[in-house]
This record gives sequence, C-alpha cells and structure tokens, in this order.
Amino acid sequence: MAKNKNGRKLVIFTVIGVALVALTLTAIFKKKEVIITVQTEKVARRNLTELVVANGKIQPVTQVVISPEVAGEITALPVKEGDQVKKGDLLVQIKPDNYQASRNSAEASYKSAIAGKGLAQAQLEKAEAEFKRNQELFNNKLESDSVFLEFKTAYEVAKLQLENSIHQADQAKFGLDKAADDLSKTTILAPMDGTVSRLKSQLGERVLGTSFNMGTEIMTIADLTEMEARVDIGEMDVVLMKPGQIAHLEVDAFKDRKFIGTVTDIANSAKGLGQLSSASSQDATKFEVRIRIQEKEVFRPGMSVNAEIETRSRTNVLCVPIASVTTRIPKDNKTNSASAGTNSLAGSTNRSAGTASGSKADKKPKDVEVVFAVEGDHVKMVPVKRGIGDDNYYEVVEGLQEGQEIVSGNFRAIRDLEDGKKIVKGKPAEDSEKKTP
Amino acid sequence: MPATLPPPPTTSLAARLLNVFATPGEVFEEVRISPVNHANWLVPVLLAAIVGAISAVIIFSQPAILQQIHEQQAKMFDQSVKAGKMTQADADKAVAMAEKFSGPTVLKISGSVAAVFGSCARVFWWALVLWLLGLWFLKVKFSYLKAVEVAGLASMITILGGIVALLLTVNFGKETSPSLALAVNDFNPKNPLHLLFAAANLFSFWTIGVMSVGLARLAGVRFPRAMVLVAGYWLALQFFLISVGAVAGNLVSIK
Repeated sequence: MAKNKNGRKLVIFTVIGVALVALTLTAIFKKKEVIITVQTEKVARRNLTELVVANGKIQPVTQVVISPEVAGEITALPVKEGDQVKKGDLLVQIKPDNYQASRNSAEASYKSAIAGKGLAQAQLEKAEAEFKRNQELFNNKLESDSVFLEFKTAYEVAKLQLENSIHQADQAKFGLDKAADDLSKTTILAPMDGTVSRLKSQLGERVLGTSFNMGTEIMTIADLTEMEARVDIGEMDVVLMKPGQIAHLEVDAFKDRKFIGTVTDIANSAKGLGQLSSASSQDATKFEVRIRIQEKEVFRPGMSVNAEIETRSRTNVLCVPIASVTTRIPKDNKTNSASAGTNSLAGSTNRSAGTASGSKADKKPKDVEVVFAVEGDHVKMVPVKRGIGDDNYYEVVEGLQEGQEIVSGNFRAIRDLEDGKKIVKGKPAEDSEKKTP
Repeated sequence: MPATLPPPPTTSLAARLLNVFATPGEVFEEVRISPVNHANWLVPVLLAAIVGAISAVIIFSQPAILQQIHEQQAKMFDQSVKAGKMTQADADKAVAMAEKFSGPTVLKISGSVAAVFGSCARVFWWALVLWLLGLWFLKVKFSYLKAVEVAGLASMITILGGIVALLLTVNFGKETSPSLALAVNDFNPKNPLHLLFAAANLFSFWTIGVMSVGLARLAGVRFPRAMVLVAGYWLALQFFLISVGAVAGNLVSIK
C-alpha cells in the first residue's frame, strides 16, 4: 500500500517536474517577438481623380454697383430689393434744383459771352474802317504819323478783343455743357437688365457723388441668370488649377442636389495682398477661383457652396490606401542619427539628437515615403514614389507591383511597424469605404 | 488500566505542501485529527502572493503582452467612435492617456497588489464555501479554521497552475492558461463560449477534486458526494460570471 502511494507520488512529481522544466527551457530559449495586428490589402489598379475641396459663396457673374456721380437728396426711388429692371428703367432721382439753377446760370453766362463776342466783332469792323480811311490819308501825306499810329493800334486792339470774346464764349459753352451734364446725372437709369440684389439707400437720404470720393452705394443690380461660385483655394492647391476644370458643387440651401461647374478664372494674386493689417499676415494664403455654374437654379448671392474640383486624373494606375503610406528615415541615415519614424498623415516627426560629427551632423535625415509589404508573417519596408491621390487612395508610381499584399491599417499599427517586424492579420475595419475602380 | 492511544503521526509542513498534489486524502486526514495549524494556510497564501507578484512582473515585461493590452484598449475606443459615443480626436487622446497610465510599471505594481490580496481572499472564500456546503447540504458542522487549512493546502494546486500559466504566456506571447482556450485562435472575452473554454482549466478541475477530498474528510462523507457539491458550486459560479459578463457586454453595446 505504502509502495503504491510512493510510486504514485513519484509519477506525479516527475510529470510536474518534467513539464515545468520543459516550459521553462522553452520560455528562456524561444525568440520573443512583438506581433502587431494589422489589416492588409492588395495593390490594385484603379481610376483616380484628384480633387481639391474648397468653400466659398455664390455670386452673380455680372453685377453693377449703382453710385451717383452728383450729390443730393433722393427724391424718387421707384424700385425695391428683388425687383426686376430693364436697361434704361429709372432707378433713382436726385433733387435737381441746384443743378437746374447752375445750368440756367451757365446758359445766361454763355449768352452774355455770345453778346460780348458780337460787340467785339462790331468794334473790330469800326476800327478796321477807320484804320483803312486813315491809312489812305497817311499814304497821301495828309495825316501825321502819330494820328495814323493811334488808329492802327485801335484796330489791333479791336482784333484782340474779338479773339478774347470768342474764347470767353467757348468757356461759357463748356460751363453750360457741364451744368447740363450734372443736371442729367441727377437721373440714374438702369445700365443693364437684372435684379435689384441689394438696396442700401432710402427715399430722402442724402447721397454723395463719385466726383471727389467713393460715392454712396445706393443699390446693386445683378444678372441672376448667370451665377458662379467664388471659392478660396490654398496656395499649395492653386497651382493645380486650370480654366476648364470640372467642379462638383454642393450648395447648403439645396442639399439634395449636386451641381456641375467649370473653372473660369483663377486669381493671380492672393486675397488681401497689399493690405496693411497685421492680422492678414497670419491668415492662410488664399486665391479666389471662380466656377461658372452650369445649371439654372434660384440661387441668391451670398449662398454658401462647397466645391470639389477635379484637378488631375489617372486611369488604370496602381493604387494603395492612403493609410498604408507612411514615412520613415532610411536605414543608412539611421546609423548617423538615432531617430524614430512618423506617420505621414500625423504630420509631426520625432527625432532625438544625432551623434554624427563633421558635415553629416549638419544634414538632417530626410523622411522617405514607404509602404509595408507583407512577406509571410513579417513585413518589409518598401520605399515608394507617390503620384496623385483622392479621398481614399494614392497612386504608386514606383516601388510596388500589382497584386502585392501591403499593410493598410490600422494607423496605430503602421505607426509602430518597422522593417522585418512580425505581424498577424486581423479583421478588416467594418466601416471601411472602398471606391470601386 | 486503559491503553493510551499512540499520538497520530505528523508530517512536516513541506511534506504536507507537496503531498497535497499526490495524496491529498492523507494530508487532509492529518489536518482533520491534528490541532489547528495556521502554517497550513499561511504559507500557501504567501507562496501564492509571491508567485502572483512575480508573474505580474514577468508578464507585464513582455513587449508582446503590452502590445496586446494597448491594442485591446485602442480597439475598445475605436468601437466607441464607431458607435458615435466619442470623436476620433477624443479617442486618440484617450488611447494616449491609457498608454501613459497603463505602462509596464503601473501594470506590474497593480498586478502584484492584486495577486497579494487575491491569494488571501481566495483561500478564505473557498474555506467559507466548504464550511457552508458542509453545514447546509451535509448537515455537518466542522471548524471554519479547519476549512481554511484545507483551502490553503488545496491552493498549492492553484499556485502550480499559476506557474504553468505564466510559462505558457511567456511561450505563446499572449495571456494563456492551461485550458480549452488554448484551442481558440482569436480569443474574444465577450464570447460566452470562449469564456467557458477558458474556465475549463486543468488546474481548476484539479483544485475542485482536491477541495472535494478535503470536504469529504472534514465532513466524514464519501468523496463522490462531496465532489458533486463542490463541482456544482463551481459550475454555478462559472455560469453566473459568464452570464453577468455577457449581459454587461450587451448593455454596453446597446448604449
């Protein structure tokens, strides 16, 4: 009985001992690797369209700001905001009384100048006749030199007086014309067909003319049949813009519709350039791009719009998901400085101080765009050259082949990946959206 | 003159701690007839605390384990983002905070503290279970401290199970136990079936068997009867825990 018990003890302790020793030896000598769970995708060919997204406002293509050329009180304002007007319709009547009086005064001055001219003409004729008569007497030695000279001088003076009166008549004519012109400017007519999109002044308001200053903006006439989206594009994207590019527009007021537009104008200078305000230097540099909207809709000036402009497109090119592209410092640069990789979409780089000496210490190692290709249960870091991209994919110009399996997520796993690390494929993200080629 | 009975043979503490693996019946019989000996439970508790603390230090030094913990945390926050409970930016901040406050040092300290308290609590809890099973179902009243000695000595099985689990974890690079969960590739703590597999632990069954022997000896009943009671309690507890876990998981998903 005791022998049986001792035998049983020996067997049990031997089994436990062997198992513990085996597990311990395995734990000590087994290579331990960190295994990172990733999602993978195959490099495939797709059609890519690069989009630049921008926000802006809808404005009429043609709009005119009506400002008076002469100052005065508004005595008639037969239009209101939203009214349709035709070219030549009365828009504003400014009180003409002062200008009427000025015109009348100018007319009287003109008439007076004409009369003066007539008087000078008569005096010239008289002086000419006396000069001719005395010239004959002087020639027949019947008159002295001094007397003849007097008549001659009188004749010359009369001629000059006539010339002076002619100029005065001209001056009075010009004054009359100006007064008449100012009088005509008290009546403002519509310069084109359109809609009164904004009315700033009211009946009875005193307005300033544009003669010596900015002038009061009374109203704005706009042609609402032709509308355009004016969007702000950043300086990095504006170089991709070209007239004729197609844009897809979403207007906040018409959420269930998408509109098509064509790029017509690209600003040469940035917005706010030349302004002296200190705040403008800190603002992002934006360029205005105008997109003509093809569809007709009841747009109102100032409506908000979001535009996706198709800048470049590629057909049937190798593509990888955006999340799969990250940046790393090449291995040969790592021997000169200790550094960590970064995720290109995060934007920031972590580097510790370098230990290289000489000229190499001055050179900052440059990040290289890479993708992690799957080789069995490890990854290989592959430098790639990137082309255009859309919301989900980047074009790969160099570095990868069609059908090659690459790590496509998640971004935290890609952040931690290095060349040669062990991976395990996890479940793909449930809500990942993939555009079909 | 009546004959005096010879004193019962006693084994050393080390012998008792080791013999509980092979001949638990003899060990518990000796415990039953001997006076209360606190070393029978104190030493196993101390050993369990030491093994638990060392396990926490070793496990949370494994880069693979830490990677999995962080991946699980990130996955949890990603699910919250998908459910619309938080934005991606908040989730990224939460992940960064979790990585900062669940670093190796914090995990090692908290794991060690949990091991110390857990080992103590486990022994007294099992002793209470044995005592109540004896009182309510077997209608036998025995000393609670005797039950503590039995539970303490039986916890040696659990200590061995902890060492094996530690070695398996280090070998496989993920938290592993000698259970049916070894056969599951992608263990999901929210899956009741996976939890059931994890509960089917070799050393848990061994401990139940040894506890049953102890209860049978203390109560003076046959082993099968004691086994039914102890195993029944364990099964009920596992089903309760798995059910509560499943309901809690569903409530979180619904919210």
